[in-house]
Amino acid sequence: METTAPKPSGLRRTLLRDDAARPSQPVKTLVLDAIRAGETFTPAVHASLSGLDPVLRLNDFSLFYGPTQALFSISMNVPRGKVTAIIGPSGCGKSTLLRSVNRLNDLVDGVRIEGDMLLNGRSIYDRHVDVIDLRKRLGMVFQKPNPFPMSIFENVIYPLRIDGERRRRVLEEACERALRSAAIWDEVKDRLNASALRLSGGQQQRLCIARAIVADPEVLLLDEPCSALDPIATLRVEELIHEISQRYTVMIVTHNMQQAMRVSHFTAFMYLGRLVEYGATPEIFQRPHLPETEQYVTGRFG
Amino acid sequence: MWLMGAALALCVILIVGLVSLIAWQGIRAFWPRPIDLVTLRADHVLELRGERFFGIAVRDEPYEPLPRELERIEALGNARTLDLTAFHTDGRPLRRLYLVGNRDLGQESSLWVPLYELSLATARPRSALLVDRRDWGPWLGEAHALVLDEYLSHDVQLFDDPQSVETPFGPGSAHRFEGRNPQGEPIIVQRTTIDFEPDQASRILPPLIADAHRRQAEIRRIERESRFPIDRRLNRLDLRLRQAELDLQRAQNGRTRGLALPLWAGLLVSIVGCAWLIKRTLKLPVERRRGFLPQMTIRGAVLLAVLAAVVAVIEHPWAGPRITATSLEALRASVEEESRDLRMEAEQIDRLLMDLRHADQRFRAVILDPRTGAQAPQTTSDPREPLVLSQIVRLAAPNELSFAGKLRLYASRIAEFVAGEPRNANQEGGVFPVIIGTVTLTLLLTVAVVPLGVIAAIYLREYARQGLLTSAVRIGVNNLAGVPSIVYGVFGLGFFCYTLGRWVDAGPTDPLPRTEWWMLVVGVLLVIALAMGLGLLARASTRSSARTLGLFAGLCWITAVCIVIGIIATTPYFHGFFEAKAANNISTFRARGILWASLTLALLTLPVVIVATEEAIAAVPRSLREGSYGCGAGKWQTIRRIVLPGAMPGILTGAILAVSRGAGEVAPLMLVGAAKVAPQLPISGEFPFIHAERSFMHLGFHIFDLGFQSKDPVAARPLIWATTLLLILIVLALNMAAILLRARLRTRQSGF
Ligand SMILES: Nc1ncnc2c1ncn2[C@@H]1O[C@H](COP(=O)(O)OP(=O)(O)OP(=O)(O)O)[C@@H](O)[C@H]1O
Ligand SMILES: [Mg+2]
Repeated sequence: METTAPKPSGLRRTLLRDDAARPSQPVKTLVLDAIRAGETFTPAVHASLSGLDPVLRLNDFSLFYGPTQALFSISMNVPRGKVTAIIGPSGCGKSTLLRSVNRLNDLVDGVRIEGDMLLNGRSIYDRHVDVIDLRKRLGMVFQKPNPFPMSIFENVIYPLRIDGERRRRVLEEACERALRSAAIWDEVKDRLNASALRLSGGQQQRLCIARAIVADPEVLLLDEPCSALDPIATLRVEELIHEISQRYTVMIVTHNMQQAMRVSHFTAFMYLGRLVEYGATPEIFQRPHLPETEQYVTGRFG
Repeated sequence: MWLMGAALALCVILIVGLVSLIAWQGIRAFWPRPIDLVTLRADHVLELRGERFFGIAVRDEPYEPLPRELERIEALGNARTLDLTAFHTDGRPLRRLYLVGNRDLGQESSLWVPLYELSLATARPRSALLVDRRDWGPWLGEAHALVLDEYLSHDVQLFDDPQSVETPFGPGSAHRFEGRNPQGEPIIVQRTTIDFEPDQASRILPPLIADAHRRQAEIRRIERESRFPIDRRLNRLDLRLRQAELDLQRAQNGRTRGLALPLWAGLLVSIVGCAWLIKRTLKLPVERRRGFLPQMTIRGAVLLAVLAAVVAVIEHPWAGPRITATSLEALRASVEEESRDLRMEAEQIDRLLMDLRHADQRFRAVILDPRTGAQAPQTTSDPREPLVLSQIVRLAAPNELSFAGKLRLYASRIAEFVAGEPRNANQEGGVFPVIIGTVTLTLLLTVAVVPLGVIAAIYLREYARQGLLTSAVRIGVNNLAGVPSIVYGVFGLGFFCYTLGRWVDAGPTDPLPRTEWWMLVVGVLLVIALAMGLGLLARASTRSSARTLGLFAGLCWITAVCIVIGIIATTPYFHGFFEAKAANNISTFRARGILWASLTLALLTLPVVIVATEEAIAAVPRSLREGSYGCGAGKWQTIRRIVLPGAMPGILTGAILAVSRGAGEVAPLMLVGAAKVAPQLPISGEFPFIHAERSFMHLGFHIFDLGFQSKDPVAARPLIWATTLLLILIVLALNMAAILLRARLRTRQSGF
């Protein structure tokens, strides 16, 4: 793994808001054109982010699936104890970014990375990092619910089981706590020994959330956790996010702008593997620096 | 479309037809069939000495008559004595296959008779007996008399004429003649013959036969419980002495001693520990290597100490018992004394057994063949001595049996078939040892092939770096499935029986000198270290050089494995588990046996398990693995908790396929272990319980043997059908068990 030096910014096209504020016009955005053309540009990172304690820091992080590049030298700080939303059109690399945080992409053949990613100041991609230990500190919920073919109870306590926890009481308490947090306790408390595959899709997703938080992770990575949920369950999950954001740092990928607005403190907008704009959520949604961002968040493209 | 339907229908019809044929014939095989008193025309032209004989009709079929027979048919037709039912509708004459038994008379046990030669008066006398004998096959005849012998001391008077005497079985006539008892002393035998009406036989004889069976059982019990253990103890004593002699020889020639098991364990542990330490050190980050150094030194020192201790014990003669010429003499004396006592005891028991056998021969029956008037003999060499009752396994008069009686006879035959020993060159009796052999073989095969295949598949799919080497292995494995099974048999015989078996029996053929062997051990450690280092380097380096480095690491590993095999094959510290036996030219594992047979079959069926397991593993959804890794599970934890349970139904399918194939395989077994007659069962209640070195009987081989190697296929036919049915049933039962297991697993997988 070689760390490449930051590329010299060839063409700076960070445009001021007033210059391109032509909301009613068909999409003609210089930044996105530049990205499509593969040119380098500097993302608009708001000043409100500086001065915050970053739990995760990306330094020119790039990722290649074999010959195709999925992430293009992304640099961003994820502030501690806040909810950071990642938005962007489908296929722009949001999941990839999230999966690189807990190094799940290592499992994909032919993945190569450049640049670095630091968790609490320590490189995640260092050769001597204990990946298992790293993943234990990060909880992950996937885009599609993936409960294991076991009982509900076993599903929730899986992270504790693999840690070697055997005391029945501890496991039961942890299970109940996690299920309550994930707002699913009332629905499953009578059938903890039933197979998790019998749950509905939404219940399965909340079960996966319970599984992700049962071991008290430092950072919770949520990849569209609500895509399979009805509005009520979504609301519950959002409440849950709100609640756990007091304790953990949360990174959430979502296609739902309202959701991003409701739950997150900071929002990053990505396009074609690049970070476009990153700032406090109210600013991104109300006063974005780039017209492209505004167009995206108001639903006029993407 | 309809072609496919037709093909499917054809397949189904063929399979159903085959199975139902086997089932019908197998079920029918033991049903008692009536005995005909076959009466031929007075002027028949068959090559028979008489014209009346007992026979059991097997089947009729039309045939092409010879010109001579055509003339005969014409002559009979002219005389208007031709029976039209003796001809097939197409005009060809019919012939009937009769089972006639009585092979001691020098005749075939079955006979084709043209139906036109049958006299119209063919009867089924109630007195006709079917006598199943221990040897020489069935005897068809009529019982006329019971013979009771009494052994008198040699100074009683001989009778000049037969005298009439009263016996518990009615009046009889007695005569006396000179004979000898088992000790060879002269005695007088008083033989009383009690005549009875032939149709009384099935009333008088069975209780006496049951008594005779009890006497035989007693004899066998004494043999089993008292006589054979003495032989075994004698044998052990002999081997102990031989071993001591060999040890002494070795000590005198300055050669190394064999190592005890704990020493081997110590050696192994220290070698593996060293390898592990090397790996740990190489894997450590550079900056932490220094901190780890003291810990590593301590562990290394401990390991080295263990190694040194082991080497010291091995290389220095002061440890362990040493044998000297004087201690050998003492041992020899004590062994001789002990075996003398044992031999005396054995002689006593032998005498007792001989007396019992002699006494058993006092009860005999006169059963006459209607054609020749000859009696069923005790032995073919002396036709004057009538059949001893204990030689009769079962006596039946099928013509007078009611339906219930036939059912009882049927049940008793089936019971003998399933639970009895084979007799009369396997053509009659039971297949119990064959069943046991087959089931044991199948179980051993399963135990060997499933773990091996699953481990190999897990390694190939989950751990091995997918590259040239793994594809080569995969292609090789797939091709193994296409190799003819007889080739596996040859390989098994050559490698397992003769090479590996020899090593197990007597140790390496030409062991290396000590120093060279130790150099090999050190060498292999170095190669392993090199391989690990290269592997780690490969992981850390860029793409292009990683591949070559990985290749070199793989080559190093292969070399290491080869050297390890070499180390095992040439160790001077191992002289075989059965050294003394081998020195007496008795092979234990260097022979065809059930262990080697099951390993050969395991090799044969390995590809099926590997391929099925790989597919099952690959079918476990990626999202589940990622979920597990995302929870912080390691590779092995993920495999054990997510992948293997998910793949279990597929693995079981593979195992079922493999084991069914292995259970039905015959060709390799003929080379590596299946025997026509195995003297002992491969499992027993004695210590190792599974006697892996013994040869065994196998249903598939048994069918082949009965069908194609038997001298008398007609007589053996019912048994062939029944055995085939049994084999199918056993395979079916095994499959059903596995399928049920799989179904249960499936439901557990998809919600319970
Ligand atoms: N395993 C893989 N191998 C090769 N390419 C991949 C792989 N996974 C993702 N990609 C590619 O990387 C790009 C980013 O994918 P990613 O899954 O991160 O998108 P996303 O932003 O999460 O999209 P969505 O909103 O639809 O989930 C896509 O172009 C995709 O085709
Ligand atoms: Mg995604």
